[in-house]
Parts: sequence; C-alpha cells; structure tokens
Amino acid sequence: MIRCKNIALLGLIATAFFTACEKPEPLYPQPKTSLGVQSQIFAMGENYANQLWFDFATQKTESNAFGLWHLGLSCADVPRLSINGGIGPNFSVARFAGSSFGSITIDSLKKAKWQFDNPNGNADSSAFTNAFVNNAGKWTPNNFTYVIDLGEKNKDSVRYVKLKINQFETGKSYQISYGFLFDALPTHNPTIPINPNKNFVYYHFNSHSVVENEPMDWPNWDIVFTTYKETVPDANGVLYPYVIRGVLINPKKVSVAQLNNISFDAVNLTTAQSVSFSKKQDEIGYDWKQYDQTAERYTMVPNRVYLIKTTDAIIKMKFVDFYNDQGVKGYPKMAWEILK
Amino acid sequence: MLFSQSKDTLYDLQVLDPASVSCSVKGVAVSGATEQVKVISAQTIKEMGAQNAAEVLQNQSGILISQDAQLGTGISLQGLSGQSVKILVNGAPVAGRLNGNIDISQIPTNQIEQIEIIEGPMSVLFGSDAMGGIINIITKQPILNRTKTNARLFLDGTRNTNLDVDFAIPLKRQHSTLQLFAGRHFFGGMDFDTLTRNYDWKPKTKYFGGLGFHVRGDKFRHDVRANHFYENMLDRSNAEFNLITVTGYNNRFFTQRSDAAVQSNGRFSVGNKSINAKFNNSWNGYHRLNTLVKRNLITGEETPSFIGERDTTRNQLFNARGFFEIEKKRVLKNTIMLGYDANHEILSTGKIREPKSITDVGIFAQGKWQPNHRLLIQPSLRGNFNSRFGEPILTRTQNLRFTPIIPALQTRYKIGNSMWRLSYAKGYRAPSLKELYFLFVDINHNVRGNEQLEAEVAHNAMASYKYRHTYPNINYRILAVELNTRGFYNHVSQQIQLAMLDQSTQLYQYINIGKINSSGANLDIDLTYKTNSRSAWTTTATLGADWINTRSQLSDSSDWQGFNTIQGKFNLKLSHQKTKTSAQLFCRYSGNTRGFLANGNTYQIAPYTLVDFTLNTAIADKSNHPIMLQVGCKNLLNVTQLQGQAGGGIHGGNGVLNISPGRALFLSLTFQFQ
Repeated sequence: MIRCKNIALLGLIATAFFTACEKPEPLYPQPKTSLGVQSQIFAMGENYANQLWFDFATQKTESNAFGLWHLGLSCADVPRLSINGGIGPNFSVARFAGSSFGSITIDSLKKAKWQFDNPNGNADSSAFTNAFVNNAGKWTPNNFTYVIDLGEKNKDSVRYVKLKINQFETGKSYQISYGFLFDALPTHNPTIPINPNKNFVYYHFNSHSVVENEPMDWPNWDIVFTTYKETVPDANGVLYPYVIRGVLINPKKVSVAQLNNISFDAVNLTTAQSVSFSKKQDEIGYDWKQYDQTAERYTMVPNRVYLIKTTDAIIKMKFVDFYNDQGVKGYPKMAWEILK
Repeated sequence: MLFSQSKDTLYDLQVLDPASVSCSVKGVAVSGATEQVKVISAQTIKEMGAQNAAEVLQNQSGILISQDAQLGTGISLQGLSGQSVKILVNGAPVAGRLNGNIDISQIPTNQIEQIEIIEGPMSVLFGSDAMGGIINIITKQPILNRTKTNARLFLDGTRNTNLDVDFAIPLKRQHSTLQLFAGRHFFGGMDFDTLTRNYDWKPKTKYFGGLGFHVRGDKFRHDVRANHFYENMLDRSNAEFNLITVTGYNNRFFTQRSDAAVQSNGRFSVGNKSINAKFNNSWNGYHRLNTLVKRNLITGEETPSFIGERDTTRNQLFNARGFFEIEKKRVLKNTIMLGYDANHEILSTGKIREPKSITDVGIFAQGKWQPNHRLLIQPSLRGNFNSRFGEPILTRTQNLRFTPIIPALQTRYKIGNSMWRLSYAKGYRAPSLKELYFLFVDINHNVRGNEQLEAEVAHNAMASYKYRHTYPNINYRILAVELNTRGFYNHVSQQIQLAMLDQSTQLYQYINIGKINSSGANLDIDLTYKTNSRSAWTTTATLGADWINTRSQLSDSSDWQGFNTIQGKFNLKLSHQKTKTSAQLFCRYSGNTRGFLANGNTYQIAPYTLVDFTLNTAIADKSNHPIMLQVGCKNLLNVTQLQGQAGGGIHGGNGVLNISPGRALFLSLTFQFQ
C-alpha cells in the first residue's frame, strides 16, 4: 500500500513540476506594410516657429514651439550638455578653466573663445566638450566655469549666464549653479532630474525652471523638423555660424544613409544592403533643399533619397517640397515608403 | 503549541476553545481573553482550501481585502488601512511594506498552525503600526520525537498548481526534532479578455522552504527557524501595433523574503513567584526588484529598458522581544507581565538617497487583577524610545527620543453564560522610513518625505458582549449556541498624508494633517448541533454581519467625509467524525463599499457575494498513512471583476476592480506518513 502510494505521490510531484511552468509567449504575425508611398506636409510655419516630431511606424506627428529652452541635459548614462544654438547666431558658450564665479567680467568675455554645438551630435563636437571626467566609473564635473551668451536681444544684465556644473548622478539628476554676469555668487542652484523616457531634459535660465521640449518619449519618434545652428560657408568659402532649418534624427533609434543621383523608385531593399548608415544627428540635415536665386525660392535637390533604418524597419524617403499650397515657405513635404 | 480548551459543555461537544499566544506567554483561551481575539485554526484553513493567508482572511468578518496588480494584497481592519495593521509571524514583525501594506498573499498556508486576529490598538505590546490591530500568524511546531511527512498537491481551474512537502525528523538527542519544508506554487495568470496581452491576474511562481530545530529542555523549549520565500511575477503590457512591428513590455517583479528567528519559552521559579518567560529574537529581510524589458512580439527579441526604470527595495527588520509573566504560586488570579520590544529597521530603495534606519525600543507592563471570579481588570502601559521622533532625552544626541506613554485598559466581566468586555487603548504609528525620507523627483514627479513628521496617534474604545449556551442533552441530541456582538470607535489624529504643498513646483510632501474616525458593530452567531455518536453528522453554522463607518478629514479646514461598509457571512459545515468526512459552504457578502484614495479622492466598490464549497474525506485510511482528498469549487457565483472607480490608487485597473480569478473547481490530495 505504502509503495503504491509513494509511486502515486512521485508521479504527482513530477506532473506538477513539469506541467506547471510559464508558457513561452507565441509570436505575433508581421503587420502588413505594403502601403505604398506615403506623404505628409510638416507645418513649421513661415517663421519656423514650430518643431515637428515624427514616427514612421505609427505615422504620428507631434508639434511644439521652438526656442523654449536654453540648456539641454542628456538623460543617457554618460553626462552631456547642449545649448539651443538655433535661438540666434550669438547664442554660444565660452569656457573658463577653474575660474571663480566673480572673476569673470565683461572684459574677460571679449577674449573668450565662443562655441556652439556641432549638430552632428558627437560628444567631442559639443560646446561643453570635456565638461565631465570619468573617475573609476563615476562621472564628475571638471573644474570649469561657463558663460552662455543668450543673444543680443537681451540686455547685458541678463544676456550672459555664468554656469557651474556641480554634480551628476547617473540616471538621477544634474546639479548646477548659475547666475547672471554681474552676480558675484550663483543665485540659482537647481537640481535637474533626469527623465529616462527622453533623450534630454531642458532648462530655461529666465524662467529658472525645467521646460518640456520633447513631446514624445524617445522610443516613439524618429525624426524632428527643427531649427538649429550650423557652420555654413558663404559664397567665398568663409565659414559662418548660421541658423538653419532642417531635420535631425533620433540617434538612439535611427540611422540614415544619404543616396545621391538615384531615383526614388530605384531604391529598394537590395540598395539598403550595400550602403552604410550613419548615426550623425544631422545626417539628413538641411541641404536637401537649395535656394534658387533665379526663382527666389527653395527647391529640392534632385534625385536625393534617404534610407532610414529604425529598430524595426527600413524606409526610403525623399523631400518633395518646402512650400504649402498657398506658396508659403516653412511647410516641407516628405514622401516615404516602408521597405521592410 | 499551547492550546487550552474550555471546560464547559462545549468542550464535550468538541467545539474547541482555542488559545491565543499573541498576548501571553502561556497562551490564553480566546473565550477568556480580555482582548477581542479571533483564531482561525489550521483545520479551518484546510477546509477552506486556502492557499495563502490572503485567501483565509478574505472570508473573515471585519476585514477588507483589496487587490493591486503590482503591489499585491492590501488589508483593512476596523476601517483602518494596512499601514495601521501589524502583520506578525510567531510574534515577529514582517518586513516589506509596499504602499503601507504587507502582501499577505506571499504567506503560504502550508505551515500555518493558526492565525490570530486581535482588533483594536495593540501598541502597548507591539509598538508601532498596530493601531488597527494585529494579525499574528503562528506556524506549525512538530510534535517532538515523532516522525512525520506530509505531501500535498493542489490543482484548480484557475491555473494554480501547488506542491508542498514537509518533514519532521526526531534527532538522537531526546526531545528534539528537525523540521523541513519546501513548496512550489505556480499560478499561470488569468486574462478575462483574451484579446489583450495584459493579464488581469498576473502569473506568479513561488518557491519557498525552511528548516526548524525544536528542542525541549527541563524548563525551556527552544525553537530555531530559518525560512526563505521567492516570487517571480510577470506583468505584461498590452501589445502596441504599428505599421512596422508589434511591441510589448514585460515587467518582472522578483520578491524575496527571508527570516530567521530564535524563540524560547518556559517556566521557572524565583522564591514564591512563578515566572513564565518567552524570548523572541528575529531577523526579517525583504528584497524586491523589478526589471522592465521591451519585447519585439514578432521576433521575440527582448531589450532591457533604461536602468532608471528599475527599482530595488531592500528592507530589514531586527526584532527582540521578551515577556515575563509573574504570578504567585498557587494564587493564579493576579499576574503581572513585564516585557521589552526592540525593533531596528533599515530601508534602501532607489527613491531614498541612501539607506536609512529607525530604531524603536519599548518597555511595557501589564497587570491582571481579578477582584472576584467575575471581574478581570487588565491595565497596561508602554514607554517608548525612538531614534527619529519624540522629545530628545539627551542634549548631545538627537537619536534617543522619548515618545508619549501608551496606556490601555481592558476589562472583562463574566456572569453565567454571559461575558462583557470593555476596553480603551491608545495606539500610535511611527512615520515610516518612506514617509520620512522619500525622494522621487523627475520631470513628472516632485514627491518628498518629511523628516519633521510626528507619529499618528489613535484612541480606541471597544465593548462586546458574548453569550454561550448549550441546550439540554435530550435524546442524545445537543444544540450549542454562541452569540458574540461588539462595537468599536477609533479616532486617529496627526494622520500622515501626502499633500500638495506647492502648486507651482507640484511639490507633494508627507505631512501630519488628517484625522480619521472609524466606528462599527458586529454580530456573530454560531450554532452547533450534533448527536452523541461518532457515526452521526455534526452541523455547525455561523452567521455574521458587520457594519463599519469610516470618516476622514483631510485637514482642519476641510469637511469630514464618511462612508458605510456592510458585510455579512454565512458558513455551514457538516462533519462526520468516523469517516473523517466534512462538507463546508462559505458565503461572504460585501456591501457597497466606499473609501479614500491617498490623494483624497474616493472609490466605490459595488456589492458582491463570494461562495465557496469544499468536501473533505479520507481515502486509503487503513493505516497510519492516510490520503486526504479535498474537492470543491471556489467562487461558485463566478464574481470576477467589478466596474466602478477602483481603489488600487495609481496602480488600479482603469475603473475595473479585480475580485477573484473566477469560478474554479479544485482538487487537493494530501499524503501523510507517520
């Protein structure tokens, strides 16, 4: 009797262990993507007042006003700062090694080297290069003081912001101190929390507050139509900082290959296999349009196609127009097709 | 296990009068206790087919159980929520409160000997968090020198597959036994809308085990225990479809609970005094980790989420408690109990800058004075020292503070078959480490703790009346009746609430601002009918009703808001002693329930009734190795979800409240080897 019972018991134990487990989740079928060529107008506005954030997979667009922030702080594990150079040609940063807050005067600004972020997004091309140093896995701020020129539209008393970075806690926050040029000591010491759902958090020095700039969480947008600053050669080849309107990519999610002298229809998945993709933030950039001096309007660079690779798809895209039906500039039209 | 049984006629009827060991060294019969004690025995738990402590308590009057998809089970006693209810295992506090609640669904029933519920403030003996009462889970102790093996398999129609085994092995040394147990509980999850990916009841896999060493000496018995519990819960998001792919998020919650305890109790003499002593030293650890991954539902590829979306919570509790019950030899009427209760808690989480701790040390005295055989008067006092709040004692350090004396007075008056109880007790709840040091600041949140918080203070008054009568034994048929009715009133001041202090920065901070009044009444009637024969059936019926009124005032300037809760229960049991067969019906009615959310908003739950049926019998019972069979159906009326505003706070399910995974047939087989 006991033996039978033991056998029955062992059988039940084995059954319970081997049948009661979390079942693997069945895979979903691939959505049908043969939607052909899509197109959309992105209404930046005649004065380029809007930014437009777009996601190819959901075809969702979000819009917000440009220029509401001064300082961007990266939410990645590696700290990084950025300025909103698109606000104006003078909007830039000067760095002072180890200077105390009170020692920076309007005279010292004249000798300073003013910089702005290269829109390619590379860390070594930032106006705040070497702002942090990695000590045994922990990022700490270097001993620099920065002055940010908010632009000539501001009075001198509120034009220049002196900034020190005090602390960075990975995944948590930045702690900064700042004041205006004539402040001997920092007058504001905010702790700016990181938002893991965004690429950057943004700060405004006049309102002394964190402001919202990315209306979509980073996994939910691919490209943004915006205003930014780039060094552009003039007719004589001399480089000038120039505020321009173009397209930046979401480098956490998207890479881009630019194809020239090829028709849109000729680009297919095979083409995508033979090109190299770049994660440069301004790989699409602004130069898909050119200014026709004769017609006095922007025209599209002919036979330029972009291949856009997201985490889930490959898309071919071209720009069709920069004007709306009423002939107003600032309304770029884009056409695209999902290849995979 | 210390059990006493009353010597009246009910004893002859085998209606046990269980002993409560929570407030006494020796154990005191529930019928004679001055406190309002309710004991749920292992036998009752077994008959219910309950798999965890939450399922047991769901069927008790006066207790409200709530479910949260991520935080687990919440509890409310006497209208006061979980943070005011102290959960203990063998008298040692359990660590790991989430949103104020201990998830008691993480306490399996296989090792439970009995659950003791004591309503009303028990702060004199148990310190903080016991304003609403305590729930003390007493685990099984083996009978020394006897080998015993149990194995139990439980299967049900809501995808539960549970397996428990336990062993008691006598050691060579006399009067010592080694106890081992292990178990695995698997719940496959339940989704009422199969088109969605999100489970309404999350799949869980639990592993647990423990060992105990029990030894009895001349004067003392020592019990050493160590246990570990592990739970893996999966919370899946709904699928997100777009033109290119389908994605979903899997949030896994890993919970581990560990505890170790050394308990000693015994009796010795000093002069003409007899002293019963009990010492309990325990460590209780809690660790919860969640990991979020993004899953490509087409390829199955999973990507870990940003590290900031992971949270780890660690909580440790050290407790040292001692009771000394002093009585004069041969004069058992009057006793005095002295004791100490020391707690040290450490909490670390991503939402507190660094690990924080709090220490609470109390000394207490309780007298029992019986001026005559009818009246018992039991005054108690506790003096308390805390490291975080109260009046500093020394000017040199702020870490030793004296908090107000906590008094209690309980009386019992007994005449014939009737018994009255009247009590007053003061209680307190120390601010939790989370409330003191919480820091959750990001783009969407600005929530901060408050180091200036004071303890919540409660005043409680209770009155009860009990009547027991056995009708004369006529033709070998006996009817026993027990009627129990009680009323209570609680006033809680300095209630800690999360309040918005600054609109411009959306600053939320914990402050002592609120007040709560709760009052209620209860009536329980137990009927037992049997004939004086082993081969006859015994019928036991319990009918109960509860009314609880809870009123809350968010601040001095706001209005009081109050709600009523009505509950009812009906249990029926038929048992046949000779064949070890019994059948039970458990019915529980919950009336329209309203309450408060943390943000001051209210929630409402529509009325519902839960009905369970179980049948127990012994099969293959021809030796010392019986197999016990239990079959039944839980939730016969198939109550699953209720529409309306849910009470799960920010984790609630969009206006849908989960009540039960649904109607489920179940089968349980218990193999016993002795």
